[in-house]
Amino acid sequence: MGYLGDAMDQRQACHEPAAGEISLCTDQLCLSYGSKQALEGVSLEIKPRAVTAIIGPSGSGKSSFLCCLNRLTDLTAGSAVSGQVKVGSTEIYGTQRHDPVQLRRQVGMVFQRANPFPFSIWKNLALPLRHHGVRDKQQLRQRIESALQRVGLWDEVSDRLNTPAGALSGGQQQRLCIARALVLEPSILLMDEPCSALDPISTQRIERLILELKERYTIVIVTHDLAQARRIADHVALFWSFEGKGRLIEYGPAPQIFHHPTHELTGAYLAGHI
Amino acid sequence: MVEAATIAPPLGARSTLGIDTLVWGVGLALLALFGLLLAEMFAAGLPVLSLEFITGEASDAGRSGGISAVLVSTLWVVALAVGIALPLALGTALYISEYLGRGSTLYRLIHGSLDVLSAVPSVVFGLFGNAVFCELLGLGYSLAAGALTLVCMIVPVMVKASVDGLTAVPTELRAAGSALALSKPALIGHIVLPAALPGVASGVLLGVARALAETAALLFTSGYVLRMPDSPLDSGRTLSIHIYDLAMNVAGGDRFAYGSATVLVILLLMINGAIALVSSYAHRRTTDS
Repeated sequence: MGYLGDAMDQRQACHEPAAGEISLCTDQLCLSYGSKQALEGVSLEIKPRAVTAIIGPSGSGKSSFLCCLNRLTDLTAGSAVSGQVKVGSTEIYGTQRHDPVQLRRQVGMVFQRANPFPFSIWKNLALPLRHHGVRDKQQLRQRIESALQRVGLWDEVSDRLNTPAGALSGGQQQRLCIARALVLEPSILLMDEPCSALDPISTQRIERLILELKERYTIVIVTHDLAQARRIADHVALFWSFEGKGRLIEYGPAPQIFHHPTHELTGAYLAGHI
Repeated sequence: MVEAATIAPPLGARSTLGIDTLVWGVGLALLALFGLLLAEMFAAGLPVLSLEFITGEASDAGRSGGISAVLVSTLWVVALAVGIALPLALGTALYISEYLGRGSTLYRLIHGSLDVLSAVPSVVFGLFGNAVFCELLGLGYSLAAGALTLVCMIVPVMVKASVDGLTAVPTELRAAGSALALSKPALIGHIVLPAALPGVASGVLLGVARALAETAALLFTSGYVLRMPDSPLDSGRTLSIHIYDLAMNVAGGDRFAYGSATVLVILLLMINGAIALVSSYAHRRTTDS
């Protein structure tokens, strides 16, 4: 389970997952939109039940990388992925193509802006559950309550589950979206700058939540906020843009990246020189 | 700099005032024109309206009696046309916006064709309908041939409005649905369509309005015989043709032409209201738990 120092030209084969754990790793992952290449040769192995922060300047392919991990890139016309992404023992872009619907049950995602459906709070959570076969009212109620409790929203909304989700505050909406991602009980949670549109109090609340969630989930979070990465990340990956192509330039345990970076760009970026 | 600063605000304010006046002026003028039109029509048409006028049979080439046969023909044509056009248009709109790539050649081709089709004069559709439905398919002058011709006319309008409604659904909602492992049909059925409902409803309304108001295309296809149709395969006269005939061909038919026009406008307002009600009910049903 070794880290990569300068990953640009190295190849790393994905390791076999330990028993009972859903691992996530990429090998020489490339992504292009039409003729524009967005990611080049990204190989990294995400540590299970930990928070991995993806940092780097705008346009370095962080969000694109995240979208490769649950095949959300499929939604963009003209996108093409090469290389390997392995979730557990399944190669999701392999010849025997993994069903994206099954994949996304294992790999949940939370977006930059809270995007609740224009439904009631209850229906936001009931819709994915019903779609995946949970019909029993008692079971629906149990799973919805447990997801809302996990994000600390149950006490705030339990008496108004039938009100529109859009009436909640920004921070509550984002926690509802996290609950909605958790309600299907995925193993991996992808978060694309989940706090960038929130005030400091809501941000703090979500950060606390992320730290609690990592006991059960593997979390990959894209963030522009270096202080946030310092507060919550166990591992950090720095992406950089070379002639418009995003590459991974350094990956390691958070203390090592923040205190003893090996790549000169990492040091300069973290010190705010570039 | 000081001079510029002191001069600039009044100039800006003055030009804003000018634009405001212009915008308000144009708006009020249009409203007045519309009001005048309705007032003139209702003034002449409302006194004609009675139960006898709505339910009676026409006599003396429409100068007296009622318009029951015309109303039945109109309802046949509009109901058939919208009933056939709606599923066709919705299916096409869903295919274009959800399954075809925005950049694909087929997408551009279909979009371009729709633009051209919705701009084709109705008389051309009339000639086409006459050649294809009346002659080639052997339907003759009939309400069915008229309805099928209207289908060709209103499908492009409905598709365009529905595609606009569907493409206006925020990408974030689609991404959220996909990330929750919803299959494509579920994503469309549960998230995209309910969110696009107002756009789709306005498309339906545009289609119904165009079908109700159509004259030229129907003259060539459904005919203009003034009698009660027994089935859609009979020919018949719709409201707009009745108004045209009374106003242009029947001396002394003006009063009943105004009466029929008033019925047409009231019908249109009722359909508008009904569609708004149905769409808001459907929206509520899908958004509530």
